[in-house]
Formats: sequence, structure tokens, C-alpha cells
Amino acid sequence: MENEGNLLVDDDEISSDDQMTGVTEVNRVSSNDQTSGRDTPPESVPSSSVVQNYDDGSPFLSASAAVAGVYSSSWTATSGPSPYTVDNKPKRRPFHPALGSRSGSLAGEATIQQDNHLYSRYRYYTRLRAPVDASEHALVIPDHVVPPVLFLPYIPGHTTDADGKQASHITIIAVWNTMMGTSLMTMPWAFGQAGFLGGLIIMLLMAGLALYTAMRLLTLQKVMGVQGPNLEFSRLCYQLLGGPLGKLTEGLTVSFSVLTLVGAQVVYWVLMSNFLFNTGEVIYDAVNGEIHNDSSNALLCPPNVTGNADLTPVDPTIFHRWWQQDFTVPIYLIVPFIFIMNLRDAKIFTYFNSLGAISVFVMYLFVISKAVTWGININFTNPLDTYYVPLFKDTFMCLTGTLSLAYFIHNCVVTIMQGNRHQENNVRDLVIAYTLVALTYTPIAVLFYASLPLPKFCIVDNFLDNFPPHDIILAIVRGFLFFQILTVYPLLGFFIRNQLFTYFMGLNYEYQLWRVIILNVFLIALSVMVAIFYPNIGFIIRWVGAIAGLAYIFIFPCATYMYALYTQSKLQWHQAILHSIIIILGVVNFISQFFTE
Amino acid sequence: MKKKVLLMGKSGSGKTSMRSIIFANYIARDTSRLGATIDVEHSHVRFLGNLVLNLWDCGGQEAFMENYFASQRDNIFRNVEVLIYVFDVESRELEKDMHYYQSCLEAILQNSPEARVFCLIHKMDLLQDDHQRDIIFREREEDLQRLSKPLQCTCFRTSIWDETLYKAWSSIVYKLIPNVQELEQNLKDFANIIDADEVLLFERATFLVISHYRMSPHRDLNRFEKVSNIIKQFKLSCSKLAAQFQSMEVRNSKFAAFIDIFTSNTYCMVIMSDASIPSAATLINIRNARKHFEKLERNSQGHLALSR
Repeated sequence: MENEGNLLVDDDEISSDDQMTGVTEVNRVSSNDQTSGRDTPPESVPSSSVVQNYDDGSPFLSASAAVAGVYSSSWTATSGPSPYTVDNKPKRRPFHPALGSRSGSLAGEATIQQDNHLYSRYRYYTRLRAPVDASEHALVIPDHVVPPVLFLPYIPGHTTDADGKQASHITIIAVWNTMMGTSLMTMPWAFGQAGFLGGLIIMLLMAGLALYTAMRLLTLQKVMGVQGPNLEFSRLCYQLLGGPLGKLTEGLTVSFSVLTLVGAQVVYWVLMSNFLFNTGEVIYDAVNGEIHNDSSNALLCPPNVTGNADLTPVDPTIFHRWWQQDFTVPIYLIVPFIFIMNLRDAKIFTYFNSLGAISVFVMYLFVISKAVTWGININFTNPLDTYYVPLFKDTFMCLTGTLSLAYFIHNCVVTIMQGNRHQENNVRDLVIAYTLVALTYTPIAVLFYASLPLPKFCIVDNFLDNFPPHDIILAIVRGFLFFQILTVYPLLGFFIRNQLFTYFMGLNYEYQLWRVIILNVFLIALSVMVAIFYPNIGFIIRWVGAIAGLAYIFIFPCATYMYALYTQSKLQWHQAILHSIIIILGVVNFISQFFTE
Repeated sequence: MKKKVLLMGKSGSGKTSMRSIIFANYIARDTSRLGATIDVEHSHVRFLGNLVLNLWDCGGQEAFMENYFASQRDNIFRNVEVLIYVFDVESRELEKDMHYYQSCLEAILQNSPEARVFCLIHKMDLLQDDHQRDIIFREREEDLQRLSKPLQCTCFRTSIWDETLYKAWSSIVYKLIPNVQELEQNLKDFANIIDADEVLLFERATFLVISHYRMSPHRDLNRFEKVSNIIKQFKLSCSKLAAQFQSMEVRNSKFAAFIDIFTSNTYCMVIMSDASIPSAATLINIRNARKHFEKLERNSQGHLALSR
């Protein structure tokens, strides 16, 4: 057929034209050169904006251009090198504009469509200018065109820096926050156990000692001359000693660390039951309109109450049957944790950690205000005075044990300090942090102890229990603390899980739900048992403190330091003696825990 | 000799960017050469079959400009089919802009009196709000139409950051096609025969919509620009490998879209909403329709030639 023949011919013409060249005929002719009579080949569909000319013979671009990608030149040049490394790259999906299904209103839809089109324009223009220098202003989207929803408010001073490190003051606060734990509530009681002057001396001594050994641990890697990233103590041992001995030492350190964490968990459960119980009481009383005539200055003396336990009748109301601090509340607590404990990632809990700081602050102010109203009620001389306090007591080991846990950060000090931007300030920052912690613990203990207008044996190992549940401020403080502990408990669980699994299965262990569940069941069961049958946190704290402290605060830092110096033949006799004394102190601390009445 | 499309305007008015976007062809502006020479860029882009785009800067050092204009103007302004003059809306030298514009018009009157004149008031996104934009545009339009007499100029307001640029150029292209009504009618018939929802004709080099037919109205009136941008991006990718874009088929459960070379100056895009119709059938239909539309095109070009 004629027409078809023509069509075929036409087809060929078209296609041969197009295959002619891929070269863009762009002639930049200056005014001097008017001989623009170049015999140009028939035009093709304009090819890309590749600046380089490739001759007709080779249809393929050099690999580099293709590999470099369309956006490489313009993006990196305009926005600087990427702050993301392989490790901290956020898992984001590519931006995709909404497809008009969001809002029902017509105006809304119109803007969405507009944004959609703007986005396609933006992509096209970016593609067009990809091969050119990033400083070229043409076709760069101006600010006034960018849709307003894409703008974020700029908060000065809050820019997260690309290096992922934090400033010194942040590190100090992190250390403070980590150390500041439940020991705070045990402080007044523990302080009392050592006598007034004894207590003061021991508190300062222990702070200094713990600080010194923490510093030793922090600088251990440098002293040993081990290169590479800063390792936590357990990994360092493993790496240095290697083989089965290394594994054994790592196992030892891991067990002590885990012991501390489990101890903390158990104590937390007891405290949570306590706080939840008290909060429940407050709410119950408020609901039932029970007015408490006691002024807010009412105080309790729990040892008196528990001493007469057999005489107090069981509260007949149904509520109090189902709401007992020592029995049912710890079990009710299981409910929120069933799910949370098995979560894979613990990041979310770290955000709530700061709630504890607020609570501590409130307690601090509370104690000071109470101390001001009560005045000093203490007597050092007359043993028959109600407020008599001996200067030294022979139950001082309770204080040392408690402080061992209160100043305990030795199993994670390296990790926390690693985030410090100026590593050379690590020691200085650690000193500042410890000073702050000491300044938090000591005044609360001393002030409360000195000013409480009750016989001093009334102070219990959770000083909040000296106040009735309905004290408003404390009710709020208990609420805060309850919530904070609620969020720290799974965090501890996560650390335990992490350390155990890393030890047994290596650094990149697989997350297997059943293993996690078994571990959590065990941990929660333990916590509940203790909360029901033996909720004496003073006892638990001082024992855990003594054992873990023995290892981490006394033995490990000193022994490894001496060993490091010894291998480098730098060990001097006074250093050896000093550190041996510290180790002996730790052992004494541990053994003396057996000898409290 | 090929007929020209002159793209003129003061330097810095945005001509090169405009040209890059429309023709998918980015050339970095060599700013170091500004003011010293007159930048001329011929890109031998086949535009609507027989047109070649020339880009000229009007402006720069005055004396030099005047000289240049005087000596070269016949060369520049001969055989012009279309003059597109670009005004920067933010320009502070309105008088001077108008002066150059008028010089160009004089030259056009002398050398190519049949040329069509289009004025683009460009960079409209730099104006604050819609109301202001309307007022200013109307002012300029009045001025320009007054100044252009006896020639008739059509004014558009444009910005590369909204749909106005594409629309303006599409309108220009639309006006340059002599038998556009006939084309539309044929497209309609074509669409009805092959059961297509929509048929579009794109100009080959720029993917500007020449004509289209749609069975039922669509709520997104600016979708052609988006399609055009997407295809141009794809063309850029193709040409990185020295391949030429020829055709594309996009399919999902709700529709099938075919983009294919159509006539020597156009691409067509056919949207079928009946996904059960096999691709081969539609492709055969498109192929058979080609002859018909080629004939139409040839006639129209002959028409153009005759009218000279």
C-alpha cells in the first residue's frame, strides 16, 4: 500500500534523524564571530545538560558521570558534608508529597495540588542544574516559594550538632542524673546509722573515694596504652586478657554490673509499690471525702507502728483489703510492665529520665522548707534527750554500704563520658558531677536528720514514709517519682538484657522475643517477691552497694591500675600501698555488712 | 531558511532559565561575560517543525548595544516567526526596558512584519500577593499594548515557580498552530474511536501541550506541566546514555497511559481507563492514526508557507 510505504519511509527518516547524534549544538557566538554559518546536522531531540561533549563515536559517557549521580555535585556543595555517618544515619524514607487525600475542603485540596506541582517542578529543576556548580543561583528554589509547612522553628542554642557529641554541662547533668537514684530517700536513715559526725566524715570520704576510683576507670584505657575507641571496663578486660581468662573476667564484671542493676530494679519495685499505694490512699480519701484534721505538720513514726503490728486491727474496708502495700499493690504493678519490658528499643525511656531530676529538685526544696519550719532539733550531749544523736555509731557500715550504691556509676562512666565533646575535660567534668551529687545527698540527709522533731529512730529507710499519705506536696512528689521510676524500671531491664546477652552471644546479638520474655518474667517475679516478703530497701541497698561496690569501686579500679603500672614498670611503692589500702577498705566494707545487729 | 523564534529581553530577566526549563537543556549562564559581549545562543532545537530558537540579550552597555543593534539588526530580525520578549517585573529601569522593546519592535516591523509578538512579564513570584500581581500585570499589559501599535502583542505573566510559565508557552505554541481547531476535532474523533479517556498532543522538543481532548472534566487543570516535567526528566536520563526517548507505557489497575512518538513534531499521550484493552491494540491504533495526523501537519505547514 502506497501510504504505508510512505509511512515506513517516514518512520525511518525520523528514527535515523534521531539516532544521528546526541550532541547538543549550542554555539556560544560572541559578537566578533558572525560566521555562524555552521553546517549543523539535522537537529535531534535536545540532549541532556551534560557540560562535557562526547564525540559521535562513543555513545557512552564515562562511568564517573553516571556513578557520581545526578545530585552529587549540587547537593554536597550547597548543604555541606553530610553530618551522618554509617552509624548514626537516621532511617528516613524519601519525601513524598501527600496525594490530595488528606483534607476534604476544596481550598485544602487546591493547596495540596499546588504543593504537589511545586514539588515536581522542584525535582525537575534540580535535575536540570545537577551538573553545574552549586554556587549557580539559577533554578534554585527561593525561600518565598517553599511551602510554609516545610519550615521548622529555629530555637537558638538547641541545634543538635552534627558530631553527635554533647557539651560539658550536658554530660555533667547526665552523670548527675544517672547517679541520683533511690538512695536519696534512704540517705537520712543511712546517715543516722553512723552517728552525726561519723556520718559527715564518711559521706565526704566515700564521695572522694568513689570519685577517685571512677576517675581511675575512666582513664584506665589511656594508662594502659590501649588504642582505639573507649571501651567499657568489661570489654576492656576481655580485650586485654583475651581468651578464657578474659571471658572470665568479663563475666565477673558483667555479673557485678547486672547485680547492681537487679538490685536497683528490686528496690524500684518496692518503691513503686509504696508510691502507688500512697497515691491510691490519697485518691481514695479524697473520693470518700475523708478530711484529715491533722495539720500538714503531722509526722509518722513507722517503727512505732510496725512494732505494734499485732495490735492494729486489719482495716475492714474492702478497698484496704485489696489495696495493701505489702501484698496486692506489688502484683497490680505487673500490669503495665508486661508489654513495656519486652520492647526492643529503650530509647523512649531515656526521655523520661529527666522527670527524676524534677522530683529530686522538689524534694530538695521540700526538705529545706521543712527544716526551716522545724528548726534544729538535735542534741549531742544528753543521751536521755529525745533528740539525742551520738557522734559516732557502730552501725556505720549501713552508711558505707548505702553510699557505695549512691555514688555508683563505675559500670557506665566510660559510656556516658564518651559523649563529651571535649574529651580532655572528662576528668574535670566527672569531678564537677560528683561534687554536685555530694551536694545533693549530703544536705538532704543532714538537714532532714537534724531538724526532724521526732526521736531519731523514727526515721525510716524511705524518709517520705515519715509523712502521711495526704500531705499534698509529697503526694505530688510521690506521683512524680512513681512515674519516673515507672520509666526507669524498663530502662534498667533493657540494660540488664543488653549486658547479659552481649556477654553470652556477642555484640550483635539477635533480638529474640522468647529469651527476652523469660528474662523479664524472672526479673519481675523477683521484684514482686521481694516487695511482698521483704521490702526493706535499706537492707537491699546496703548489701547490693557493698558487693557491687567491693568489685567496681574498690577492687577493679585499684587492681587494674596497679597492674597497668606494674606492666609498664612504673609502679611506685606509695602508689601500691595507697591502692592496696583502698582495696582493703572495700573488703572491710563488705564484711562489716554481716555484723549489723 | 528556517524561521526563528526570538527570545529577547534584558540580561538577567530570566531568559536562559526559561529556555532551560522549557527545552530541558540547562546551560550555565556565564556571568563573567555579562556586559562585555552580546550573548547569542542558537540552539538548534527543532521547535514546531520548522522553527529555530534564538536567544538574545537586549541590554548591557548602552553605546555598545546601540551600535550592535544598528549593524546587525537586519540579520537578527529577518525571518522571524515569533518574538518573545521577556520583562523582569522587578526591573527598576522601566523606561529603558520599554526603549529597547520599542527598538526591537521597529526592527521587527521592518524585517518581519508578519511576526507574532508575545510579551512575558516574568519573575512574578517576587511580587508579594495575588492582588498586587494582578494590578501590576494589568498596568504593564496596557502599556505594552499601547506601545506595540500597530503590532499586536499578547502578554502573559509568568514565573518559573508556578504553572504560569508552562501555560504561557503552551498558549504561544497553541497560537502558532494554524489548524488547531481541526486538530482538536480530529483528536476528539480519534479518542472516541479507540475508547480513550484522554488524548494529548505534545510538542516534541518541549512537551508543551498543543492540543488535547478529554471525555470528562478533570479537577487538576495543571497536570500537563507535571507530565511534561516528568517526561523531560526521563529524557534527561535517557540522553545521559545517549539514548533517545521514544515511548513509554504506564499501567496500573485503573488506567493505562501511552506516550509515543506521533508525528514529526509531536508526541501523543493516550489515556485508557479500560485496563482490559491490551496494549498492543492501542499501539496499533496510535500507529495507524499517525498517517492521518502527519497529513494534517503537512497541510498546516503548507498553509503557513503559503501565507508568507
